[in-house]
Amino acid sequence: MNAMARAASLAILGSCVALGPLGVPVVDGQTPVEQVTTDTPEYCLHLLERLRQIEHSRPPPQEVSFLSDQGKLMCDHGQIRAGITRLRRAMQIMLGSTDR
Amino acid sequence: MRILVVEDDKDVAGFVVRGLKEAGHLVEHADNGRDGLFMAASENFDAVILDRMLPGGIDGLRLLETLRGQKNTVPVLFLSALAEVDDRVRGLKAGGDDYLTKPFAFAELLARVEALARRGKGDAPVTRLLVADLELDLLSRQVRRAGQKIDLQPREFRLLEYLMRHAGQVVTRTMLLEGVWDYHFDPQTNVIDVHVSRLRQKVDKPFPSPLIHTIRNAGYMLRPDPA
Amino acid sequence: MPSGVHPAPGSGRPGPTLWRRLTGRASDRPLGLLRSASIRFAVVYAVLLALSGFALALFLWYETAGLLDRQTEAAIRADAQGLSERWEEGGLPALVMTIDDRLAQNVDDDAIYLLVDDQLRRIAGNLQRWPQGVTVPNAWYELPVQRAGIRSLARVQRFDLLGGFHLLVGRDVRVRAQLRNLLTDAMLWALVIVVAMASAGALVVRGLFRRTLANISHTSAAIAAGDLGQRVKLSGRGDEFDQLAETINDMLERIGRLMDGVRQVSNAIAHDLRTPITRARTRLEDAALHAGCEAELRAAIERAIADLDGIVAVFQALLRIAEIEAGSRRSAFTTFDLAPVLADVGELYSAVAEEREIEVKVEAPPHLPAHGDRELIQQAVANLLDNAVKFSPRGGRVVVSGATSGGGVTVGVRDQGPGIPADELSRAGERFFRGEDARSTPGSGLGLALVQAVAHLHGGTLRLDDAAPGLAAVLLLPQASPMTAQSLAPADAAT
Repeated sequence: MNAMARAASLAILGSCVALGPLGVPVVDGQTPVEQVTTDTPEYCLHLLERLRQIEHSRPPPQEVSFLSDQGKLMCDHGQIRAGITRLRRAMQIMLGSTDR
Repeated sequence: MRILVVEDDKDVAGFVVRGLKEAGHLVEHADNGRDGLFMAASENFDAVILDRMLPGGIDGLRLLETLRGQKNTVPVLFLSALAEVDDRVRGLKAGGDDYLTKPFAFAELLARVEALARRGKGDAPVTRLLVADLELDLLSRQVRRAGQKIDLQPREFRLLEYLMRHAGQVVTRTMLLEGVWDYHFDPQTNVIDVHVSRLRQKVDKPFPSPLIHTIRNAGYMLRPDPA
Repeated sequence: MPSGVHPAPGSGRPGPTLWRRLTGRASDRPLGLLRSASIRFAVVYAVLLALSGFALALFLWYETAGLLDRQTEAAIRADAQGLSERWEEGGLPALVMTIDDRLAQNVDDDAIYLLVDDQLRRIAGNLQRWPQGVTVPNAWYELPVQRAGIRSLARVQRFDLLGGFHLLVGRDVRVRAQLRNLLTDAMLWALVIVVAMASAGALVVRGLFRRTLANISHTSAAIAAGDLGQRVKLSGRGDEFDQLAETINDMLERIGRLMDGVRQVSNAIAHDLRTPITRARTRLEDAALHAGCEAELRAAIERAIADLDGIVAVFQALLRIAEIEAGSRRSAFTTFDLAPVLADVGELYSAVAEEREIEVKVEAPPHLPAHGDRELIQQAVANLLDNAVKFSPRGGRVVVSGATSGGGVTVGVRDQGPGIPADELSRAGERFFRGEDARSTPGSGLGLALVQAVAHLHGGTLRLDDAAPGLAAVLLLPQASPMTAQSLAPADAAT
């Protein structure tokens, strides 16, 4: 019986260890779920506006124009997240940073 | 001699006691270990014949160990039905002086007991043995009879020495084998007889009276010719 | 659970009662689940396998799913670090601008920021309002979020800044969470499979175990019931079980031989001792009926005593041989010089030999160290020499030789007599065996048997060869020192 008991307790302990990393408190499902505000058409417009402002100071490369036109098109047609992604890529190029 | 026999088997005891008495000894008998120990401890004996298996809680070995523990040095001969050499060694280690297994020839028993008892007395180291006109010098390893020098081979010398040390006692073939050749088993052929006869050729034949006698069914004895 | 060994049929034992089960032999009691060794082995195997599987799964899980989590947390921390530097450099405006910039360039679309003041009013970031459950700073939270109508999951951490501001930095981890769940499920299923395989394997192990043991125990039970011819089957793999089987078979072989020896001796005793016993009895009866005078009676009695002594001698020799074969005298082994023993024995028989004009020559080096029982070797050599002298022709020559040979000692006795015919050589060492030519000579036929028993005891051999003419007996004693004595097993006799 020793072998059996040992095996059982080890299994229990092991699963506790294994599930440890999952032991992060998950915010209660009862509370209202927060809205991410950067997935909206308004944000699309916000990004377009910023791009235009930057384009004033220097001419955009061809890729940026392409991307921003694409983004605008997608946003207009309801593919918000895809459009925002393109606009963000355009922003990235324009700002010349390596932030992801 | 005064001999104590401690043996529980009635037939063997009767046989031995009777035989010893006929040989002229004073014999006491005990048929169990307790009585035997009491008698051996309280009286003076020249030799004790002790059976190993005894009733009464005290067996032969323990009896002997107790005796020896009391600083009693009486010569003891063990009788035993156990033939294993380990038992013989154990008996001798416990303080026994000789060991005989059953069945034994009475002549053997008698010869050995007498040799034991004799040995107990006066063991002063000697340099010379003398029987009648036979003289054996242990230092120079020379033998003379009636003044004449006798040439003996080393083993013959030792054989004669053994016979002379036991002069007047029966010496069995087994005793000679053990004492002279350090041989503890019984050879089937009569090797001893031939050695003795060779010795006789040198020691007895050239001289008028024989000293080495054959004792029927027993062995040999060296003594002056009674006749 | 059925027991591993059943009592042999017809063994005469009554059926097991409860009492017997409680107090009887192990083989009578049915083997409970816990007492079965095969089950224990199987369980050990299963547990080990399960534990190994478990450990492996845990490791893999940690490396994959765990890695995902760690990466996310590292990214969030790095992000927060960068933000805090901006805060320190340029205060609130700089922080706000940085947050906006980062959001604007977040091509992966997974960043979550929220900067609020002490009243939890939103200043910057992409969350509507401060989530309610996130209360403890510098602690990890998993936050459900709504993204363009889709429910997602974010991993976030709260930072408190000077001035009462609160910053929330996080990452969308929905995809990663899905992946993690997938991995976890896979691991759990893998564990289930491992456990199943472990159980199956355990059954297999148990079966193997029981089969091998059953083989041995069945054979042993059959032998215990009296069938000495049985042997344990070897699997041919030469593994530990085969070694065990071989050892058992060797033991059985030896038991068989010993029992044969016993049977042989009883037969021989019955046969060969009957003669002198009958003779003694006849003489005594004859004397009792027909003796004329006391002298005749006495003579008859003395002859009978001699006969009985002869019988006793045979018994003594038999007992000695049995004692030697039982091996109890190995403890009396010492190291001694064999040369004087050979000289003494030669000298002992020289007298008898001379009578028949036989020369006994002893050829040995001045010192011959040997290890064993001195008295037994002495008697063995004497027996060989006795035979040699007995069978030598008049004027013949007997040579006793001693020599060292490869760490051991050989003693040879060679005569020029009739020897032993080739077909009888192998049986010469049997008890009571008398060759055809020797039937008329005195002796019990035990001499060579004793020499062989002595050889055995010392782990050596007795070889008998034709000396053309005559017999050459060679006694080989393998060890000359106590060290080798322990490790030697008795060699097989020269039969």
